Amino acid sequence: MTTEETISEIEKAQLDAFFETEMMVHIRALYHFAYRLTNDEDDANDLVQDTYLKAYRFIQSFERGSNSKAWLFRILKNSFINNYRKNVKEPSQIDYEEAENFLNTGISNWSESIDLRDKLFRGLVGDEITNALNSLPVDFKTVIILCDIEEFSYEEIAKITDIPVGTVRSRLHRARKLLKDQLAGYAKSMGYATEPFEAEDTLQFSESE
Amino acid sequence: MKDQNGVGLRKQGSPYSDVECEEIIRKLEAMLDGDQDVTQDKAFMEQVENCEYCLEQYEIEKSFKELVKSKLKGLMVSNSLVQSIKEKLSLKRD
Repeated sequence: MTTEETISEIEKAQLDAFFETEMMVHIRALYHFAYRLTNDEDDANDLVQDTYLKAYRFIQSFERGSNSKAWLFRILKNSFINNYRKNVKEPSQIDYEEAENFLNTGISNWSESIDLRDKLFRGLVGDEITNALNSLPVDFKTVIILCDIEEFSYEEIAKITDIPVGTVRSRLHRARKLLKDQLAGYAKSMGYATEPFEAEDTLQFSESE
Repeated sequence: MKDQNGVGLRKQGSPYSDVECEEIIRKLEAMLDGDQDVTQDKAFMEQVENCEYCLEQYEIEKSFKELVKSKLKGLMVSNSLVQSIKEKLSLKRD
């Protein structure tokens, strides 16, 4: 083995060790994100695998010392958009504009009373929250996952999703409003909350027109 | 709840207009997300304390964030995924 070969072997070993300690540790979070995006275990597995293969291929472009988790999330998000988004069933008759129009038409019913919060939360289980989250347009869903579940900063979310920080802020606000209204709908259908939601059913997106 | 001119009415318990409340709530939301530390901003905190509606919204946002987090955490990754990635990566190394 020549000296050059030895050096390259050492570099390779260092790179592998770096990849293992810096990148592989985020697999659980990545899988979680992938599953929330795709709603399918196999798709999520494929997406995470693609992400790691890409990360390995482009590891030289990773800036040492920067946030490796955010870097991987960005790769995953881009892979999802390129490969999966078109295949995933989204309830996306609700598009942005529609959702925004809807949100601008009135004040969310959610806010009426603090007692309502307890009524709503008491009965809700993970499945309902999951369904409500899945019913959101994917860009809305993404910011909620990144912020509330993965606890990325606005700055990091902006980098992962390629949108300005200001947009992250407003998108989150809107996404949460939508999610709350969806959950209010579940609560209503289960009989946890009746009166405050009778006057106006915010789940009817068509009513925004 | 808007009047004929489209100008927001005040919320119950609020000395501010709807628009002002909305601005306050957004700042509080950013604070909950760890984006802004508004607690040092005395004027702002005073504004918040004067508004029952904003305080109530803050509590709602806080509980909601906790709810989403607590209910959606905890998916397990299959060992086979970890294994398969490691195998594919080791192939690339060779």
